[in-house]
Amino acid sequence: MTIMDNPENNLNSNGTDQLFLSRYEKECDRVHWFICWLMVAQWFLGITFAVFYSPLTWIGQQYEVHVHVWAAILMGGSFSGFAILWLRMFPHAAHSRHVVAIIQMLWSALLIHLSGGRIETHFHVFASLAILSIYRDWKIMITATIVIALDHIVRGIFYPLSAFGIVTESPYRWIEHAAWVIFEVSFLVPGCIRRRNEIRELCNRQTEIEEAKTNVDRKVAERTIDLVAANQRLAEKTTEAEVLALVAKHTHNAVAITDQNGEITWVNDAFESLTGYERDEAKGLKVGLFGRGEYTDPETVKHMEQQLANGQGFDVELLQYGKSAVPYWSSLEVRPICDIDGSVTKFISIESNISERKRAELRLKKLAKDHQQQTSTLDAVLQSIPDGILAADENGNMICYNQRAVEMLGALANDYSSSADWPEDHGLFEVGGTELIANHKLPLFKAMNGETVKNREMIARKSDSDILISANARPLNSDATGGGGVCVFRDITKERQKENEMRSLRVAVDNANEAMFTVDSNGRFVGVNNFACQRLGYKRSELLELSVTDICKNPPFESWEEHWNRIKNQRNVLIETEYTTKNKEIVPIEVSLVFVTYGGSEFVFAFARDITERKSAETERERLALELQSAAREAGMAEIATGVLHNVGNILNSVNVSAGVIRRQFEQSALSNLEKVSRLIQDHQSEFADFVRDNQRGQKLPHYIQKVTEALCCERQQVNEEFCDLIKNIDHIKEIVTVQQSMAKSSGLQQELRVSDLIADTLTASKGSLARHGINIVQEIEDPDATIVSDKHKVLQILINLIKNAKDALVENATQHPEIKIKSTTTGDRLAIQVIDNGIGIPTDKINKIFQNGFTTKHSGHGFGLHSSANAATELGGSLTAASDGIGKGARFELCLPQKLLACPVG
Amino acid sequence: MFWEITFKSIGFAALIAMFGFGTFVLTDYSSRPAPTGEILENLEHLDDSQFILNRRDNESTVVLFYHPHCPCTFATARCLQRLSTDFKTRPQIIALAYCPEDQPDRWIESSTTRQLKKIADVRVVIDRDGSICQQFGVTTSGHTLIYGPDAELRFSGGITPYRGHEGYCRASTAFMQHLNHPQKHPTNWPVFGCQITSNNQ
Repeated sequence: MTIMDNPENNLNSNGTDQLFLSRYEKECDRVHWFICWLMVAQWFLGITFAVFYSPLTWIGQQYEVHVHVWAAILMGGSFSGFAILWLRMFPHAAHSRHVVAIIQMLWSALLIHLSGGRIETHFHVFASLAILSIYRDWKIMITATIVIALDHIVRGIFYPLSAFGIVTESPYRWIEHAAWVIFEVSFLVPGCIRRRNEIRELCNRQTEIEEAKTNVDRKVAERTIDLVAANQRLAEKTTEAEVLALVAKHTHNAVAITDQNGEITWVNDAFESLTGYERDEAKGLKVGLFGRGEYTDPETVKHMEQQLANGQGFDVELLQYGKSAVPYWSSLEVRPICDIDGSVTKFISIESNISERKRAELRLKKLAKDHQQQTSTLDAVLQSIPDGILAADENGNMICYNQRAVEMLGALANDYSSSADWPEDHGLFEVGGTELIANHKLPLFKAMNGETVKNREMIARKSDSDILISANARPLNSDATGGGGVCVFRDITKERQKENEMRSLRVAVDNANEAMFTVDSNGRFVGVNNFACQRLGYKRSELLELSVTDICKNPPFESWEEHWNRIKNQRNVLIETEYTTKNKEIVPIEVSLVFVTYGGSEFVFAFARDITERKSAETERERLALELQSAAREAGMAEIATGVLHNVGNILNSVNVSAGVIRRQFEQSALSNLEKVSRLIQDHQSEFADFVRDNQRGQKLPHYIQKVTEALCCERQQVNEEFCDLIKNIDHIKEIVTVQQSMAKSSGLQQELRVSDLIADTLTASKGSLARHGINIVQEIEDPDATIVSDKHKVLQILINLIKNAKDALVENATQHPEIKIKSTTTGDRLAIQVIDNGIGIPTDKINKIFQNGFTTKHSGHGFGLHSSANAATELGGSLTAASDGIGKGARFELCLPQKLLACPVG
Repeated sequence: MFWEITFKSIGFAALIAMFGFGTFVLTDYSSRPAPTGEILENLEHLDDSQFILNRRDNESTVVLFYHPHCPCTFATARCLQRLSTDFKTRPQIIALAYCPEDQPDRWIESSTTRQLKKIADVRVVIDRDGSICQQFGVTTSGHTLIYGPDAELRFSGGITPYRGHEGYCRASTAFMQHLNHPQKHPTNWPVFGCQITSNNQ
């Protein structure tokens, strides 16, 4: 097989050619670059030649540039420029090298001419041939030879002096020159060929080396692919191992490696920090079990031991104890590590301190509980407040409402879960309007859109009635960006009614025909009505700057503070006084003072009525009264007598009873037995000692006398008691008479009385009749030590009368278990004594007439007792009231008296 | 390809044209002889010739007129030097260097003057303002005259074949014959060189 037959050789040949061509082109590029600079240098050389040899041409003193200089510049420039341009345009073309050869030879010819055919200049030809041989292209040598030969042929024939410097030269002298050129070329051409072949051979070798290198590289690459892959896997594993090592070293979790028995063989730094055990100390410890302590869950420990024994991992959370016995909560994760056979070779333990998390869980649990409580509290608050509350999210979904909202809005809060579902007939109307409010104008929807609504009044029209509601709504987000809203509804129907009433009242007060004042604790006016301003002649502002004493020149009190306290105590005081108008007019007034507290302050409402006319009328009435006095006295006396007789009659009943008791006591007295004893002693006076000693009757006599004596003593005591009662009743009669007498003249004696004593005296006075009718007396005295300052006999008169009436009612009704309950209570500064019976009661239609003079429901009554009692109660500053649920249901009379003495008793 | 061929053709044409034109111009420049005037026939007719030339009896006298700064005359000096080696006699060679009136003597110092001074028996004489030149009727630098021992003109013209070109030529051969083998008939040859004096002089 020849070389050409070998495809590999062909491949090599092609590669060599390409490499040779490439290198030759690069070589030509370098030579071209050199030739370009050579052309420039030759141009300058030619100019230098011309300037040196023949710079100027002279005519006497005148001179000009020599034509050789111009020839060097122009012709030399054209030669060099042409060659440079050609090389630039066709750098890799073969003709470029031939052009260079031609130009170079022309340069030789020009230089020879410029030097006047100097033989030395011919060396340029040979130098140029040597330079051209750098191209290693023997063909351009031929071209150069031909060109220089032609030059010398032409110039040798037609202008020999230009070529050879002499004109007498042989026309064949060019052959000699050409022969020398050929001589040189004959050496240069083989040299070029040889060097070209050498380079080609080098290219061939380089190609072979590169191919061999390529093959080796391919084989190496093929064989190193696996190695690279293995290295890559090893690097990945190494990286992973390094990462894991970094994780194990720098993690906050305590990592421990154990043997197959769970005994620690390695721990990381975090383990030392967490447990306090040094690495060497930790070796040999049982993983997860070394830190158990007093409060460690034994079940968890047992579980861990079992899992380790079974070669299985586990995840536990337990209370561990470090080396310093400080407990901490630990999350322990233990995993077995098995070998290829599946046998457990070691365990890896990852432990983290979860104390903070545990504490957080406890806090969270407590917070959840608190939250639940708060939620419950809030829900209770929501349900308990009188306002309706609706809350919706940004989509209109109802997230919170209370029962009150449902009550006020009906089914709205219950039935609709989103804004799109809100009905148009929601039942909310504008105040005074008849059309439903559009949904987007509802307060809740405005709040959902970020608006705040205050005191929006609407009518909620329900089936049975309308209610006026005031709505306040605001967005849930504090920055008013919506995100839902909450709306609070308040039923202001009653408030509005009260407000209207107050307005009406205010209008009425302002337009009343009585002067009305509001006075503070300092006596200053804080409010007046129009009538007061008109009547006093002051403007409202002027009047509000005055005080009571400014207009009341002669007040019925010594000091305002005392008067204030009196009003404050009595709450309601009626006085008569005078005020002075701005015009100095003195007007008599009757002032009704009412003490009130409002808003934490104390005020007195004063209603001043002009009693000028009344005063006049009173004057007139006094005159008439004097006239009627005599007639009234007689009538009064008769009335007094009636009262006295009535009261005395009541007492006399008790006196009569006491007298009867005494009489029966004397009729049944043991005194007769004593007379029998006296007669027996008289009969046996001579032998009394023997009689007493020997006679059977005489022996019983001492004992009998003793019994009689005891009986007499008992009788004496009973009689004495009856006499005491009798004396009391007689004294009572005397006092009644005295009182009645004093009533006609002056008021009774005011003294401090204990309630318990009053009730005891009353029962004592009535005990005979009560005992006779078997009436049970029940006393309920709230405070036995309570006292009142009042007229004792008037009070007793009233109470005895009430007891008597109660007894009569029981007797008349023939009640099976008659009972009279006397109940005493103290309310504020007033004492109330109630007499309650379960007798016949009072007809409802007659209850209002019970205190009228002459009205009675009893068969034997006179209609004077309750009348006089009511008058007496009024005289004492109190009142007497009656109540009954009707016939057969008993009656209750209540005597209410002031506990303290009245400054000016009414009447 | 078209443009390449076109460019190549134009390039070669321009190259050949430039070469031909340049060659033509240079050839014309080099081969065009300078005009000559009426040359002095006998040295005896020259005023104060003895003083100027210091001519020796029985010897030929070579008088070379040149412009010191004429580059073409340097070839004449070179030719004269080369020819002097073949002189069989010792002619008196006088080189008359043109020097303007207002220039100092050193103005004549040039490569041509230095070349002439290297030749034996050459005496350089300053020709102030070309006055001697005018007496001889010479106007072109490089114009060489040979006067025989009898002071008669034997040779007149340049000794270079062309302007600025040294080398052997028929003029130089005639020059040598007149010196080595004196002849009765004078010969005239073209002169190539710069004009020594201007026309207004």
